[in-house]
This record gives sequence, structure tokens and C-alpha cells, in this order.
Amino acid sequence: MWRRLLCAVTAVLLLAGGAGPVFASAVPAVTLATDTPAVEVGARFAGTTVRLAGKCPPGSDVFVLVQGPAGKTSLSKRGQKGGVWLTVETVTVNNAPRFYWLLGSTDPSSLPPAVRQATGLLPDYGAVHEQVEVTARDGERVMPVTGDEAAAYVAGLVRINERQGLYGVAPRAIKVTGDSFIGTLRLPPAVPRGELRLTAYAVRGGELVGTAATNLPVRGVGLVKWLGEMSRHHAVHYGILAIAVALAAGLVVAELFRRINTHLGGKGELTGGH
Amino acid sequence: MSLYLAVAGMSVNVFLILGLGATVGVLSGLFGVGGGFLLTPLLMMCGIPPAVAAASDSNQIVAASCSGALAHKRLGNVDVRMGLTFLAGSLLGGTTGTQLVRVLRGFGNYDVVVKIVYVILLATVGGFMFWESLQALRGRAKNGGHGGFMSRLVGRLPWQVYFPVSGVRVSVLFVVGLGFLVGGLAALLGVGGGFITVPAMIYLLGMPTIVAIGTDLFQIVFTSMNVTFQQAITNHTVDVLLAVLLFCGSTIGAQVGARLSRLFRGEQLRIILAAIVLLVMLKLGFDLVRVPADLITLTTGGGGH
Repeated sequence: MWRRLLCAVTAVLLLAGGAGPVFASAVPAVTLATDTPAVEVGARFAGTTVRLAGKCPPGSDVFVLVQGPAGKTSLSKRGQKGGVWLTVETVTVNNAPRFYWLLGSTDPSSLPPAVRQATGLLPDYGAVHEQVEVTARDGERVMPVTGDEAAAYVAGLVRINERQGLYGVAPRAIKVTGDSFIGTLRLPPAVPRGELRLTAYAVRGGELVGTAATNLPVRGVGLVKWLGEMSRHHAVHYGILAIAVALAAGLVVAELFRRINTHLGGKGELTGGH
Repeated sequence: MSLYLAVAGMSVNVFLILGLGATVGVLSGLFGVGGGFLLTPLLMMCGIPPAVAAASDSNQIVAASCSGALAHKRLGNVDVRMGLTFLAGSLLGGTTGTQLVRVLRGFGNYDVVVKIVYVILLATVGGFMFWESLQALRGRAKNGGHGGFMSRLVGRLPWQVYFPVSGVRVSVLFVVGLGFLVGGLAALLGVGGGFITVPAMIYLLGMPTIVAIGTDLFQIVFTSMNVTFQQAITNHTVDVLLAVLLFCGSTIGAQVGARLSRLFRGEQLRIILAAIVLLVMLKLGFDLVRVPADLITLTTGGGGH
């Protein structure tokens, strides 16, 4: 009898919680939403600000990790050789997120180690360091780069991305009031197109008390979409188009100036020694 | 006013890019240099990824050199026959040079040698041109004279042809050979040949300065088309919108430059070009000894003129 009742209660709780964690009923749920379903990148796009909002257990700190699609980047290292500075090595950094921002209601460096392990909110972009793979080419061979050498390249990539506003940590970007929080996410003009994954973590008393996640697509529209897709998927057509447009522009401007010159020349103003 | 660039993946100020294009266009029309040495670093300062900056610059050079070459053609400054002959040599030289680079990279200090050779080459060419045009300006030397030994040697080569636009009689083999050397050198050094082509045409082929500039622009149309296409299909780094903005500025600049060039005498143009070559040499030399701000950088694509 009691067992059947317990089963029924569990079933109801599971249905109420949907796909969420089973403990959802025990602690107030964490939710996360953005003020826009998608970011559209058109010809006039110059970066934007997205507002975040959600629920959290009262008295908790909230952290939101925003990660963009991963990709590969080619990096060069400069070093001194024969007394001069030049590129000494070129590597490829694979699987690094093109966007990585950690927003928080407080400094994430205050998180206890157990929570860090559980959430992956590691200091100094530790999560980025863990997921990337650095490789170097020697002729046709691809060799892995590891250890301090790899870490130096990843740290360099982080610095480059920080300068463009693609990576960062914002310890005061989220405000918690009672059982809800709001925050702002700044997307720079160079934000990558693709899916941004936003994950909220609520931490109370040194323990993780709930998480929630949502996706925010960043997609090109109009001319941006057309040119972006053509340059990737129809490269030959795109190359021919680029050359044709350039030649046409050169011809048009040359013809324009010929007419201007003839016109002015007729008035005897700009006749030089031909 | 800002505009989002689809391939570069960022937004830029339209007027800033137009202004950069116009400046480089004037230089191109005046001196027959592509301007890549100036434009690519400037674009990188605006935050454009290096590979996109170099590739889109090549696209821009197609328009600027086309506009500039047409303007020079109308003024009678393009030796089409000479340009095509030279081009045949430099295309062959470029292909050979690219293959040679692969072999030479196997030797340890190839990159150091290349950088130093380039700086020395620019110093020699720029220094000689500066000295020569200074003499000409003072009226001590004949306009664009070529050495006695050289002309005697060249005079003995077979297949002598008269190039009426340049007003020189020279062996086709010599023109192709010179093109081969310049194209090969450009590929070995990983740079465009503009700085070497114009002085080579003036001093080794004996062409008048203004015809050398016009003819160089004419052949750059073809070489930059090739680079643009290769970059578009292999690296997907040509941003056509960025190139359009740049050449809106540069095509007009090139026309102005070509017209301005008529206001100067050959030796005056040569001495300014020499000064630019020497400045570029100083900048490159400085970069070799200066401690970089960040040792790790995004990799720059090849190309440029």
C-alpha cells in the first residue's frame, strides 16, 4: 500500500518537474531566460546587450556561464632567433570556444573547490584549457603540443579574445533580489554566429543548489547571411564574384573620371601634356 | 556609421575604411605600388583578423590597379606588350619560388635569412634610387641611365624586340628572365613584387619612370586577381564587403594619384618612391629588433603587394 502511494507521488513529482532534476521539488527551482529568442546579425549590427532573468533559491549567489561554438584558430609564436624577432612556430588550437563569458553576482574565485569541480567554473579559464587540443604541423605530420607549451598558446588566445570582448569574467553583472535574479550580457560586434549556450548555477552555503540552461542563437540575416554562406560553401563562385565586382568597380571609376576629364578638358581647365 | 562584415565577422566604421582606401589609392596611382605594405597593418590595427585583412586587401588591389592602369593607359603610360612579357616571366618565377620555399624551409635559419635579405634588398634598392634621383634632380646625371656593362651584356642576347611605348629595344629573353627573378624573389621573400618591379623596370630595362609605374599597375591587375581567387577558395578569408569599401576609396584615390603623377618629373617621383621604400625598410628592420608586445598572435595569411 505505502509502496504504491510512494510510486504515485514520485510519478507526479517527475511529471511536475518535467525533464528537470528530481530534487526540483525539494529546493526552489532555478530558471533562466533571455529577453530575446535570438540575436540577428544584419549589416548594421554593432554588438548588442542581452538581458537575462531567472529564479533562484533565496540567499544564493548566481553565476551564468555563456559559451559560444567551438572552433579552431591558427596562432603564431614570435621568438628571438639569430638576434632578430620572428615567427618561430605556428600551431592550431582546436575546440576552443569562440565566446566565453562568466557572469556572477559575486567574484567566482570565491567558489569552494567542490563547487568548481561540479560546475566547471574554474579560475583563469581552466575549463578552456581543459577542453582544447593544440597541434603543430611538421610537413604532412600533425603533432600534439602539450604541457606548458600548450598552456602558453591557450593563454595567448585568451588574451586575444579578451581584447575583442569575446572572453571575460564579470563578477558584478548579476543582481539577486529575493528569489529572482537579473543580469546583462554584452555581445561585442565580433560575437561568433552560431548557438550560445547559457548555463545558470545557484550556489548557497558553499553548495550547488540548482542549475538551469538555455540556448541563444546568433544568426546572420540578409546580406550577412548570404555572403557568409556563399564564402564558405560556394567558394569558387564567391572568388569569381569578388574579382568581377573589383574589376567592374575599377572600370566604372576609370570611365567616370574619363568623362570628368573630357568635360573639364573641354573647358580648358585640366588639360595637361598628354 | 558602422557596417557589419560577414566574413571578417565584425563591424567597422565605414568612413574610416573609405579614408584608408583613398590614401592607399593615391600612393598606388602615383608610384605603382599596391599599398598592401601599408593597408594590411592598418586594417589589423582596426581589429580585422590578419588573414582577412591580407586577403581582402588583394581583392581591393584588383580594383585599384585596374582603375589606375586604365588611367595610365589613357595617358599613354602602359606598355602592354612589355607588361605581358614581364608577367609571363614573373608567373613562372613565382611558381618556381613557391616550390623552392618548401625545400629551403627544411634548412634551419631560412626565415631569419629571408627577413634580413629583404631588409638589405629594400635598403639597397631604396638607397640607390634615392642617390640616383638626387643626382638627377641636381642635373648631374642623365635621366634613368643604365650602366654600360649591363647594356652591353643585354645587347648581346638574342630575340631583340623594340617596345615602342617604353621606347627601348631589348631582348625578350631578358624581360622574361627579369620577370622570373622578380617573381621568384617575391615568392621567396613572401611579399608582393611592387617594390622590386618598378625599380627593375626603370634601371634594368631602361623604361621611363612613368611608363614603368603604369606597366607595373597593369601587371598587378593579373597577379592580384590570382591571389584573391586562391585566398577565396583555400582560406575563405576574402571579405568582399570590406574590399568594396576599400576600393570605393582606392579607385578614386588611384585616379587622383595617376593625375598627380603628371605634375612631377620622373626623378621627383623616383625620389619619393625611394623615400617610401627606405621607410618601409626601417619599419621592417625595427620590427626585427623590437621586443613584441605579445609573443602569441593570430597567424597572418600571405599575399599583399
